[in-house]
Amino acid sequence: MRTLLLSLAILAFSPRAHAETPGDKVIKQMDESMTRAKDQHFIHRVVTQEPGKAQRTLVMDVRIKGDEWRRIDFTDPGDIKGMKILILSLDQTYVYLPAFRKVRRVAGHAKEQGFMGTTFSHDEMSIVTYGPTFSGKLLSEDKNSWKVEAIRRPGKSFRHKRLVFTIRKDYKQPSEVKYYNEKNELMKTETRTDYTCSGNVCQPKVLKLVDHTRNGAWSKIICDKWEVNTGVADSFFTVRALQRER
Amino acid sequence: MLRRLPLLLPMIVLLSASVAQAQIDLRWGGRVQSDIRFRTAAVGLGGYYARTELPAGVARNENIFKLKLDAGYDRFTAVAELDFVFYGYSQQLEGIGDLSLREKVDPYRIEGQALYIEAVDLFVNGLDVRIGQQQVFWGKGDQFNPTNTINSNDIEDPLLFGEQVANMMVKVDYTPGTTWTFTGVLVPIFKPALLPDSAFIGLSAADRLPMVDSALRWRLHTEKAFTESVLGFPTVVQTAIPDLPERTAANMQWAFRVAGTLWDQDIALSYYYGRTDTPQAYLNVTRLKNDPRCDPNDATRCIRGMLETETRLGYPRMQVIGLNMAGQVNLLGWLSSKIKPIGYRVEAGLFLPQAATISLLQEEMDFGLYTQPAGEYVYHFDVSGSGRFPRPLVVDDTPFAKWVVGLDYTFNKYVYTNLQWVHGFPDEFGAGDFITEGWAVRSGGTGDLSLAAPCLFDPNPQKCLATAGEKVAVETLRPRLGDYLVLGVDIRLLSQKMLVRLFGILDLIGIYEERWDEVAGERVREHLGMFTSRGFSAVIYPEVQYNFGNGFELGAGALVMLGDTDSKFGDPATGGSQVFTRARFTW
Repeated sequence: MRTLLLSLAILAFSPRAHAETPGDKVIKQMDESMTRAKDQHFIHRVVTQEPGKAQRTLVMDVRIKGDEWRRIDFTDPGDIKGMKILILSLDQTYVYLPAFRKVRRVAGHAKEQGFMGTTFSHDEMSIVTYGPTFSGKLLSEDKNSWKVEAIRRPGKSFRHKRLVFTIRKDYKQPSEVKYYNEKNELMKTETRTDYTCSGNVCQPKVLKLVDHTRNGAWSKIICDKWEVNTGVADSFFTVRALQRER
Repeated sequence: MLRRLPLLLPMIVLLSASVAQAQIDLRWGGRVQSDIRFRTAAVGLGGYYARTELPAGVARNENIFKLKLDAGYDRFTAVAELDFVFYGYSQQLEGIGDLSLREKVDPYRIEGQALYIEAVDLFVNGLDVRIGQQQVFWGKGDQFNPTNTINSNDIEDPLLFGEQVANMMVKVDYTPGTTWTFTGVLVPIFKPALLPDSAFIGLSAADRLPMVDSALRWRLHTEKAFTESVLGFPTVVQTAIPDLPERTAANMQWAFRVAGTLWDQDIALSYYYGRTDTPQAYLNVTRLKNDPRCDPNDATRCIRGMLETETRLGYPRMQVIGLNMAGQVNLLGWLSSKIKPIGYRVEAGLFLPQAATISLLQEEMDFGLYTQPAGEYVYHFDVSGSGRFPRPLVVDDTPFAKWVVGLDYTFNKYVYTNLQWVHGFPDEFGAGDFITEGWAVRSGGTGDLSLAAPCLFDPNPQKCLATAGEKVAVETLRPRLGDYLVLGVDIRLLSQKMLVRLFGILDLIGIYEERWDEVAGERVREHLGMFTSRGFSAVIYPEVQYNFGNGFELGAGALVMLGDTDSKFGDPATGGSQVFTRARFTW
């Protein structure tokens, strides 16, 4: 019995159990770079273009704190103004619907719905750090970038099984993300450009997501305002705060 | 300098005002909405002598301008949300002079949805106070919220089912950390529920006796039949007048709630002390009106007059202990990673009602052959005393529960479904379900009235009818608390711009018909289930919405009410089936 326990303990603490591949290390660096700020505040303009149709725009006020907390307040157009989304983790999401004046818990299945008619899914909008959900495999490397394949970890919930990142070495953040489905078909391509920095915190000013399953429809998130380390309180990321008028 | 002071002062005031103005963050939004609805067929109840009816045709023709304004300064926000509703049709014009009155020709109303001041982190972090006209929504259920009792229901517009009447109150929330919130609410003055414009049709259902005591109901059905068929005086409810509670400290409502997350599930416990917003009859005053008339379609059917009843309605006290839970479960996730967690919500309210009685009074009634003296009805013959006490109950104090259990699931980016089991509709009040017996009368009358004929020659006809009623009365009953299956399906098409929604409510109970069975020698109750023609009752609510983007939406649909006139949804008092169109621009 003691031998069995000892073997289990050795297995648990063996380097293999915690093996961090070069790809994992790159993802970890990327996560660290993207969450280096204590908190961030964005005003995002999301423009969606479907082939042959008029562009549609929505505006949202986004705050991120820590590795997972994210709150999105929609400010335009009028039919979604006042709607708020609170993401405490990929499995704990709330939405405040002003027409009903109540907060509703959103279950995991709702991630199947698109995000407000844009090409983004809830998962793509919600995820802040990738390491907890994906394991990495370094595919290639040159002097400017890494190419990393990210495979969804067993038991983790995310719309796409496989992502392929092209990660810039200067900012340690992606310039491109390709999203693949269970059949390994390319579903979406995301590009992140016009990086700007505030101290050692950097982020892209423009993020464009092309959905190959919708005839190349795309949505572009344009950052109109960006603040770092605003000191937003934890209480801002609570169900109660969603019900406050401001 | 002194001479310049009068000029300087206004300038200083203006300057100060503009500085203050600069610190105030003003936000506003609005909506213009146009609703046109058609009632597909006339609905009504009652005999030719007291028919109430809503005609087929345009049922609603409203234009609504919603204005929402909020002004924030530091931790304080003032909010005003007003709806200006233009009815779209003229009031009844009573003379040419009314043609000069805009309020008659083009009437409108204002709905105050919100008018309050909110302070956040007041005195200590996490302490929020909101004072003023507001709506407090508690409950995890979708549209059906038995624990949401602080505001009264606003079912004036059946398409906006689930709305609440805003009321003046003080709400304090304290969130000491990030997970748990403690809430206290004080409502100084009770406001009643708003009912649809078809509610008056219910007045013609004089056979829906509210008394808990079935023997008393049987007797009243029999007496009513006698006065109509033998004496020529049918009973009608002429008017029902709600009496609101007095504005005293003792009549204030209050509530507490603690809500948070435990083991990744949202949970809330609440307590409410106040009143039901569903009015209950507490006094009937009946008077005889000689008004001979005949059925215009059948001159052989005539009456000598009517027994006109004026009903007074009250709002009995109640306490509600509430439990809410919501979260997600992934019961079938082990089968495939494609199966996502299902959302669940459970909302249950334990109602502790105050017993409520009714008094039946009558003025002196001269039927010709017989004169009924003025006074209070004699309810009992089997007890000593006057027979007038105790007065009959319309709500007994047996605790009862209402609940909602719901699941929802998104199959793919197109299809979302929502399924709920609702036990106890918002307008249902009082014990009566598969846990505790208790019945609501949907219709009532008599079978073979000749069985009671000997009572005409009895020295004490009322006492005789009290016995005969058991054999003569016929009633259609439902449990006071019904069970309903609520199913909604949303199909989103054209990149989520188009929403096709099908929403339905099915009455799971049906009805019970109760009558005397000569062979069995007792009254028997026959159950007509939800799939029988008599027991079936449902609502079907299909709707199509198209969002053109940037706040502009068009929609059309129908509200189809199915069932017999004494069923839950086929009841003419629901307003009948309607088709509707809606245009909306929001900014």
